[in-house]
Parts: sequence; structure tokens; C-alpha cells
Amino acid sequence: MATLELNRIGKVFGTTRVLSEIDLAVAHGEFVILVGPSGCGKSTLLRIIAGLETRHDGEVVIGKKNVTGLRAKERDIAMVFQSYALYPHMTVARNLGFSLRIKRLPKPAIAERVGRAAEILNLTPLLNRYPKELSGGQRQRVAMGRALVRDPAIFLFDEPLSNLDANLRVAMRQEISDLHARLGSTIVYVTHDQIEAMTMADKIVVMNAGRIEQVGRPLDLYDNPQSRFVARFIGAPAMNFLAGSMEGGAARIRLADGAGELSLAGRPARSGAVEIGVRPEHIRVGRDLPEAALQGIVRHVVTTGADSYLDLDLGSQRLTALTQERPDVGPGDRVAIAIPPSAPKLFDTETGARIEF
Amino acid sequence: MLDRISDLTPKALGGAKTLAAGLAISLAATTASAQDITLRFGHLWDDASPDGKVIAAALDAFAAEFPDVEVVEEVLSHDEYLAQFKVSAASGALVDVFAVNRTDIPSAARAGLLRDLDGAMETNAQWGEALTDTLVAEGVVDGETYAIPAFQIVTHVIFYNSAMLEAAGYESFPDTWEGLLSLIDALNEKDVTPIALGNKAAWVAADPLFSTLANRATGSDWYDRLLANEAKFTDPEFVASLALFEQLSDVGAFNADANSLDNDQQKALFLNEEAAMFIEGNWAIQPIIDGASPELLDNVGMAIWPSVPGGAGAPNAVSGGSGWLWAANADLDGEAAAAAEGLIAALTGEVAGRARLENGLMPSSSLQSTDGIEVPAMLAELSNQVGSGELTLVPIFVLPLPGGVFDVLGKGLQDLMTDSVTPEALAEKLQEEYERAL
Amino acid sequence: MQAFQPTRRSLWALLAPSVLVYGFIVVVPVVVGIWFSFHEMRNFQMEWAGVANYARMAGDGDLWFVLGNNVTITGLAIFFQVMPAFFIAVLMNRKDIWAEKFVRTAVFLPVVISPVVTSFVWILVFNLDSGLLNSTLAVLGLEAWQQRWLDDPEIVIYSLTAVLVWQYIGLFVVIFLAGLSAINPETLEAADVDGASFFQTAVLVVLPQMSRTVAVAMVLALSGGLKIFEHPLVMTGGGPGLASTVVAQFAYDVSFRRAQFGYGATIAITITVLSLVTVLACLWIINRLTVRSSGETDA
Repeated sequence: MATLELNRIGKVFGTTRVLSEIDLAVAHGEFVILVGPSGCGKSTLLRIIAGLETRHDGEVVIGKKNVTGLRAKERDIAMVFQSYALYPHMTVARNLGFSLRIKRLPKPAIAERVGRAAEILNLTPLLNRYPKELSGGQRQRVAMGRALVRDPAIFLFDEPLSNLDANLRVAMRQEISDLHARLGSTIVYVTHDQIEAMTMADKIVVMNAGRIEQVGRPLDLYDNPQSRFVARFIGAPAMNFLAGSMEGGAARIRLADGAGELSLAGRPARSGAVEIGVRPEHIRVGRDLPEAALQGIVRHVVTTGADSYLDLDLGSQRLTALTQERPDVGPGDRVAIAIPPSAPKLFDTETGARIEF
Repeated sequence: MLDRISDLTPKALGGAKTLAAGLAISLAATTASAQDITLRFGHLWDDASPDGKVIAAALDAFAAEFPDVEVVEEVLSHDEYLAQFKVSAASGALVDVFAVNRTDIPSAARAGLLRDLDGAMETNAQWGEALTDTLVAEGVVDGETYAIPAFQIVTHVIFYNSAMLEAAGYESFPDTWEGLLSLIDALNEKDVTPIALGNKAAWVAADPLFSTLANRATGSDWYDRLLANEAKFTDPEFVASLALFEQLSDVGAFNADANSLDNDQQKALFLNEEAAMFIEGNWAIQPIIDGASPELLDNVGMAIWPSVPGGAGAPNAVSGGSGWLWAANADLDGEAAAAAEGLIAALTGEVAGRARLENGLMPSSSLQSTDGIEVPAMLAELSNQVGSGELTLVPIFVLPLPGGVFDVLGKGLQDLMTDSVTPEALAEKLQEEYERAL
Repeated sequence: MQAFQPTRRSLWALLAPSVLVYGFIVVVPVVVGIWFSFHEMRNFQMEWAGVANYARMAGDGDLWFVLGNNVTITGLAIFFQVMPAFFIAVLMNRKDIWAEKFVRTAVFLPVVISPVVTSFVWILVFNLDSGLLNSTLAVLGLEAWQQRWLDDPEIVIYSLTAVLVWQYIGLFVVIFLAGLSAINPETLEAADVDGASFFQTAVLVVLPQMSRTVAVAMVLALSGGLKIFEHPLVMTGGGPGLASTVVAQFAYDVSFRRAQFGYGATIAITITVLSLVTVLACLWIINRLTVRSSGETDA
């Protein structure tokens, strides 16, 4: 187990800058997830940590050792690949034991460690199968097992669940979380799926266009996004964004095209156009709400059982609300909309930066 | 093709012609001078070669005499031609008039592929007289003449650089085998390659070097008995001839890369004065004249193998003859056959003979006149020596023998040079190959 | 537009041209060759010879010697051509695009040059006195290493093999690169992470995944080794003696220089059968070795 430190990592492919000035510290035993849309540079960053991309700016420190420029095999890391990258010509047992055979461990030691990893991952009955004889989930576990037997300083996961179907993905998320809890290993995990990030990570690193947007614990990111990008990326259904404008020092904000006004819990110093972010679950909708300051029209209602989503027209703007109550309204109904003063987050219309107040 | 040509005789065409005459009225006289006969003519000398120029001159003479005959030349390179001839002969697809190698004549004649030219020899009396008997014999099988010698060549001439010999202490070319061996030693001490050899294609050693050397050791009697299958390659006199060749190689007579150079390169070594001698036929005279510096040209001498110890052969014998002969397809008849014979006559006649001399080659027949032809001194000397009997022509060793013997001998001589075979073992292999074809 | 529905008749009509061409260029020569092998030519006529040609072949030391030359060349080619080509391909597979393009071109260029041309170029390299090779050795003070590259019967076969390796290694590199593109590149990175060295990755991870490519390469190397013709013909004429003669030239010489078409055909037919058997055996062995995991998966 070890810590990981990235200092001012940069990477250019041809004329395209894919990573700029990435600084990141991962504590011992921490489960860090790099998340972002495709093309944001998260996989490249992971490959730089792994030593699979060796030409880059900045330095990578694992434990207390600067491993910049070292080959992957010299870094004491293990990696689980998106395609699992199982050796198709080897049985599960030989896949698991490959790194140990390379290290020339004695055969009994290899068998012992392979057996233990297989047991942890429920692979024992499959040890003599070939990869093509396994299901997707089984292959996924073999890929993890191959990392596990290494007992590395850091585990790296590159979108490991993206090839699995939805149910299996939920199950595997749990397995990986359990594994982390049990082994206490340091993990850097890449995904484009914010739910994976939210459910598994100790710390999430949101990346966008080669930069880190925000680093934080899952709920910190949810509750306190530092940018419109993070606010939009984290959480499903996504945060609502409304256009509005304000006058400095006032505790209220005017929605665009006169759809109404929202109360704020504070008095921002800014004036002019802003973007207002409101999480769907903070919006209350009803036929008659005493505290409601806004009026809207229901477009559709979607109910999944526990949750209901209401799509609303608020003037010319759109809004989604989430509620656990069964709504008694239907499409076309005029409704009252209440947004508590603590709910709105303000963002700079131009830069997307959070406006604190 | 042949069938078609033989079908196209006037006889066969008679009816068609009458029919066509009616149709042709409106076409006026466009076909009046139409060429009725086409002769396909196969050989292996391209236009740029001296022989090719001779053939061009002969074709001009032929065209004047046979204006109605069209000759279509089909020219291949040497090796291709040899292979193609065998394939054509085996499949009955020989062209009408063609060059035939001495080696292939007995088989082709016995297979009935060659036109019997005895009649032609009689009608062209002057033609028969002009050819020497030894040459004519090359085209004779079982008493009948099937082919007319294309030219005369001497395949063994030792061209030497007299200045280099003098520098090594030799005022003249040695006249004994021992003398030749010590000359080789002396040249080697001077760091000069004694004999430049370019034997990649294996014929240079087998003919220019070995044909005459074998005769020195065995004598012509033994050779005649060999052809009659009364003597064997394993006889001591022939084994001795192989041993002599091996001895030359062993004493360092040749350049170390003799088997990866070709005959142009052996000539180049001589012309660059890196080698004191090289051995080829009379065809090398013109390239020497063209390629040698004036000083070198003054120093070029010609010699032949000296007599060898215990050898039965005459010391003035040199290998030579024709090697390539002209023949006609046996399927020809009527006017086409007459035209074919006329073409062969033109190829070996006075015009062709003069052209040969003008191109530094030796004609197969003696000329009525050599007026106005400037013959290079070396060629004249050689011709005179052959003509006067000072040199006696003996057959090119491998030519009357089956092709397999040539192949085995060519490679075997290379093996002797690298000590990969003994003279005795090679002799046995030759005998085995010879008996296979009997 | 109506979809084309082949009927039995139209199918045959469409296949006929290729069947005919195949028949004329493959089947007919083979049948004629077999017929020839039971005959021998005498005075340009084929005469029945029974199995005499086959009996002669069994006892023909020269034939077995030149076949040995083919075996030597093929064996050396597999060792110095197929194996290095594999490692070059694996190496190139990791490199940057420009380097790969450059090396691909440089390595592949000789493949497309006519064998006759390369042979002439290499004659100049091997020339005893003025050749590049001996001159370079002289400049390096290594006169003792100078050789009669084409004239020493002990060496000439290796000189020829070097030329063949030089000329055709690129073909195998390209074949292996094509094979490499079919395997999951992440398995190579996984091996890297797992601590495997370059050679361990190549041998333990790449090679077993490319068994079919290896089979193709082996078949090409084997058949290539048995059908060499131009290089020795141009460079040495097969000499000195038979030292650099290969079986194709031997069969050619027997047919066209000795006019023994029957025996020549016998040799050709036998070598064809021998090549087929060797290639099939090679494929069978490779198949056996990889029957269960069978390389290229659908991962």
C-alpha cells in the first residue's frame, strides 16, 4: 500500500494538449475515482500513473519514490483494463499467476497466492478454464484477481465495468467496494459513470478537457459543486439550470423573461446575469403551496415507483423536479413551484464558476 | 503453326486464290505483289551483336533474291534459346528456319525434325565446296546432312600480355607444361593473376580451357572411340586430362573468384592488366582490339596449351568448329522449303561471309574474295594458321556428346577447382551420364 | 433492385472462368508433370520409362545434395528471418507512428525489388577484391574475416541465405504486424504491468496469440525455401559445382540443359509433394499446439 502524488502532469498528443497541470494527492488506502466525459483525459492520466505513457511533463511519485520515467513493471502497480486484457491462451490459473511466474516465485508460493485470490473472487471452480469459456463478469473478476495476486502498492482500474450489463455492473460495484474495504488498498479508478464514482469513491476527481474541475468527497461534490460543469456532471437526474439576473446586495434573484423571483439565503455582491442551479429534489411542486413563489405548467410526469419526475415549463425555461410523493397533477396542469432559499447555487454565466454568497 | 504454314502452299491455296481473284477485281492490284510465303526464323543473336549484324546483312541479300518471302525473326537469349529449342522440338513446334546447337542435332535429326539438306548441298555446289569437311561433319547424322555450319570458331586461344611475361622472366610463351607451371609460379610471385577466369556459367572452363587440354592428354583417337562408345571417361588418359586441369587450379593459375565472375569480367581483368592471360575463343579478338590500350594491344600475344607430359594429342590441335548450325523444319515442302534453303544459303554465303570478316568474326565458308575488307591482324593470323594447317581443328569436346555430359563436366570442373571432387570420381560421373543417354 | 439469387446454373456460369483458369495453370501442368515423370525423352520423343525416373532419383546423390541446400537455406531463413521479423514487428508495434512508417518502408522496400536486381547488387557487395563487404572488413582491419563469399563452396550457401533474409525479412515483418493488429493491445500492456520484459512479452504473450500468423509465416518460409531460384542462378549460377544449386535450378538444368524432361518432371513432382507434406505437417503441429486456447479470441 502506498500514497500517490501527481505534480503538474501535462501531456500533448501531436498538437493536441490532452492534460494540463494536473496536481493530485492520493492518500494511503484511499479509493480515488477519476470521472469525466470521454476525451477529458482521465484514461491518459491513469496510463501515465501506470507508466504505460512515459512521455509527459511533471512527475509521478508512488510511495516516496519518484517513478517518473520508470516502466510500468518497475512501478509496483497493478491494472485492470477495460477489455480485461486476459491472456487468451492461458487458463484462469495461469492468467492469475503470470506476474508471479515472471518474478520466478517458487511454484508452491504461486499456487498459494493464486488460490487465495481465486477464493476471494469466487474463481476457484474456474481455474482451469480459458478466458473464452467465461462470462463477462467472470472475466472481470479474473482481471481483478490478476491485479490482486500482485499485492501492488496501487491498484489502477480503467473503466472496468463498462463492458458489463446493468445488473452485473451494480453487483460488481459492490464487490469492488467490498474488496477495497477488506484489503484497504490504494485504488485509482477511472470511469465516465458518475454513479460509479458516487457509490464507490472516497474521493472523486472530476476532469474536464484535460483539467481537474474539482476534487472532493462524493457528497461535497454533490452539495458544493465549484463549477457549473461539476454541478451538471454529478447527480442524476442532473441539476436544473435557469437563467436569471440580480442586483448586488439583494437576497433575491429574478428569473429571465419575468417568470418570477427566487429568494436566496444570502446576499451576493454581484449584479447582472447569472445561472441558477437547482437540484431536482429541492423543488417542490403542488396544486397549492403556500410558500410557492412561482407558477409553472406540467409537461410530463414520469413515475418509477419510488420516485416521480415532473417536467415543468417555467415561463420559457424548463425544469425537472423529483419527488418521493405520488404527484396528483398531470400534463397541462398549472402548478405552484416552491424552491427554498437554501437550494439555488449561482454560477457565472460566462465562466461557469460558482458564485459564493 | 507449322501445320498451317505447310498448308499454305500454293497447291493448297490454288482454289482459294481463284476464288479470291474474282473478289479482288475491285480492289485493283493491291495484292499483286503480296508475299505468299512467311518464314519464321529463330536464332539467338540480337541486332547489336556482331553475329546479329551478319544476320541482318544476310537477310538483306536474301530479300533481294526472294522478294516474295517474308522472314519473321524470333530472337531469344542464349540460355533461353537452348531451353526453348528443346521444348519446341519435344512438342513439334519448331519454327521454319533456325539455329540448332551441335548437341541437339543427332536427336533432332533422328526424331525427323530436321529437313534433309543433302539435295540442297548438291544444287548449291559452290556452297558445299566452300565449307571445310570438318565443319560439314557437324551437321551430318547417319550419312545425311541436316544442318549447315553457321560460322567457324576457334574456341581455344590463350591471350597473353607479353610485357607481364617478360617481367616474370619469360621472353616467349612456354612450350612445355612444366614451363607453363613455372610461368604461373613466377607470375604469382609478382602478385599478378596468371590466368583470368570467369567461369560462373561453367562453359568457359569446359570449352575454351578444357576442350583443347583434353585433346592434349587423350589424343583424337581416344575421342573418336569415346564417341563410338568404345572408350570410357574412366580411361586413364581422360582422368589425366582432368588431373591436369585440377593441377592448374592447385598451383594458383586462376583468380580466387573464378567461379563467380563471367567471361566479360575475365576479359576485363586482362584488359585492366590485373591478369597476365585469359583463355577464350576467336570471338574475343574484337573486344580486345576495342578495349585494350594501345600499349597493351602491342603486347597481346596468342598461344595455345603446350604439350602435356605423356599426352597422346598433337601439340598443334585447337578446339573449334561451328557449334551452331542452320537447319530447316522437316515439315516444309514446295516453295517454302526452297525459300528456307535459300535463306540458309544466304546465311552462309558470300555476303554473310564478308560481313563476318568485317565484324571480326570467322566465316564458315571460304570467300571468293576478301578485297576491301580490313581483317584485324590477330584474326588474320589465327585464320591463316587454321587455314594453313599450322593449327589443326579438333571438335569442341562436349558438343557431340549428350547435353547431360556438358552439364556434369561444367559443374565438375568447378568442383575440381574447389577440391570438392577427385578426377576419378568426376570421370565416373561423366561416364554414368554418358551411358544414360546411349 | 432485385437481390441476386444464384441458381445452380448461374453459379456454375460464374465459377467457370476461375475454374478453367485454375485448371489450366494448376491442374493441367501437374497432370502433365506426372505423365512426364513416367516417361523419358529420347530424340525429342517421350518414351515410357515406368518408375525408372523415381528409382534414379532415389540414388541421385546430386539431387539429395541440392535438396540439402534448400533445407539449409530454409532452416537458416526460419531462424534468421522469421524469428527476427517477429521481434522486429513486436518492437515496431510499440513505437511512434513516424518511426514505424519509416521502418516499415525501409524494411519492406527490398521485398518489392526484383530478385534479379537485388542479386546483381549483392554480387557487387560480395565481390572478392572490390566488394563492399571485403572492403569494409579491410577498412576495419579485419582482413582475417575476408572470405571468398561466392566462390568458397563452404560459404556460398550462407552468403545466398543472407541475401534472401535481407530481401524477404520485410515480408515477414509485415505479416507479423498484420497479425499483431488482430490481438488486443491491452494484453501487451497487461504483460508490461505484470512485469514481463520485452522478450517475455513477445514470447509468452504475443507469440501464443498469433499461432495462425506464425503458421502462415512458416508456410511461406517453407515454400519460399523450396522454390528459391533466381538468386543463386544470377549470383553464382548454382556453383561452384553444386555448392549453391537449389532443387528448382537442378530440375531446370535437368530438363532444359540435359533435355531429360521426364527426370526433370519427376524431381519437380516429388518436390511439390514433399513441400505439401512438409507444410501440412507444419500446420498440423501448430494446430495441435494451440487447439484449445486457439489464439485470436473474440474478447
